[in-house]
Amino acid sequence: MSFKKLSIFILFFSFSAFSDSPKDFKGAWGTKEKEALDALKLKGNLKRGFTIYDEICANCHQPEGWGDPAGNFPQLAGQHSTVVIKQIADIRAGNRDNPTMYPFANPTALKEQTDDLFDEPISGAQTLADVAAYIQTLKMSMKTKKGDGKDLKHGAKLYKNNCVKCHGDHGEGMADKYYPVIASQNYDYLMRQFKWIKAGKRRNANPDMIKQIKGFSEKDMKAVLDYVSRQKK
Amino acid sequence: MLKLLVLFFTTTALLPSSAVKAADGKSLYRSLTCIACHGKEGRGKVRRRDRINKKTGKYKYRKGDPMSGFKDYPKLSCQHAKYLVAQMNDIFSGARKGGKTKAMHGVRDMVLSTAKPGDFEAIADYLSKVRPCGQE
Repeated sequence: MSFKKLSIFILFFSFSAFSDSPKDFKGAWGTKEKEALDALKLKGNLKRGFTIYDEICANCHQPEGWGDPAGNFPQLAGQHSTVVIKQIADIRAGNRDNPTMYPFANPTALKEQTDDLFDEPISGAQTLADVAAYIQTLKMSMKTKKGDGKDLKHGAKLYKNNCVKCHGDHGEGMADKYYPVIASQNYDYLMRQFKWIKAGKRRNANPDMIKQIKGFSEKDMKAVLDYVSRQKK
Repeated sequence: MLKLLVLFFTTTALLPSSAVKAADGKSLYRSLTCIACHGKEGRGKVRRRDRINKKTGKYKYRKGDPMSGFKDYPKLSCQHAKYLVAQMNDIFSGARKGGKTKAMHGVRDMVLSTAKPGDFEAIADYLSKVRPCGQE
C-alpha cells in the first residue's frame, strides 16, 4: 500500500472512530488551535521558558514539575514539549474538563500574564514553545504516588498487550505523535484520566485508545496503572 | 507546676520548624496553591508593572490593573476571616459547588489530604490582616 493510500485509510479510520464516539465528543484527536500549531514550529527559549514556568505554572505544578502527591496536578517534568502544547490547545478548545487550568491556558489571559514578565512582550505561540521546551528539560521524579503493588504481573501483561505500541516499552510515549510520557506519572492522576478517557469525558482522548481500553475492568485499571506509575522513562 | 511550665517551653522550643510553619498562613496560602489564582497577598491576579504604548505615550495598562481570566475570581485581602473559613469549608465539602467554584474543586483532593486542622483559619487570619486594604 502506498503512503498516500495508507494516509487516506488512516484518515477514514479516525473519522469512523470519531462518529462512534459519544455525542459530546466535540474535538478531533488533532488540534486546530492556530497558536499551538505555530508553537510546534518554533524553537523554545529555555531561559524565558523558566521565567514563564516559575511565575505561572510552578504555583501548582511545583518548581520541579513533579505535581502534588494527591494527583490533582500531574507531573509535567520530562513531558514531551509537543504533548504539553497539544494539551494546552485541547484545554483551550474545551476538550478537557479542567476549570482550574482555564485562566492559565486561555490565550488572552496567558498573554496578559506573560506580558508583565519581559521588557519586550512575546507572542502567544512563542510563550507555549518556550514553556514546553523548559518543561521537557525538567528531570522527572520517580517518587510520585504508586498503586498498592499487589497486581504488578497482571499490570505488566496488560501493558505489554495494550499500551506498548503507542506509549512505548517504558511509558516514554512518542513526541512526534503527541503520545505522552506516562512513566512515573502520579497513580491517582493516571486513574482519573484513564476513567475519563474510558467514559468519553476526556474529549481529546485518542479514539484508538478509547477502543483499546473498552474491556478493562476495575481490577485491570488498577493493575496496569500501578505498573505504569512505576516505570522509568 | 513550675516543672510543667519548663517542660512546656522546652518542648515548644524543640518542635521541628515544620510544625511551627503549620500555622503560618502566608506560607500555607502559597503551598496550598491559593496564590496561583488569587494572587499575591490575596489581591487578585494583577499587572505587576506599568506598560506605556511607545507610539501614543499613553498607558497600555498600569501596575495593579486586574488581568482577564481572573476578574471573576474574588479578591481575598482584607476579607473577614470567618467568611473566608466558611467559604473554604463550604466549597471543599461540596455544599458550594456551582459556577466558578469548579476551579477550586480541581484542587480539592490536594487540599484535603494536605491541610491540617487549623490551616484554613491560619490562611484566613493572614488574608484578613493584609494591609493596606486597597490596591498597593
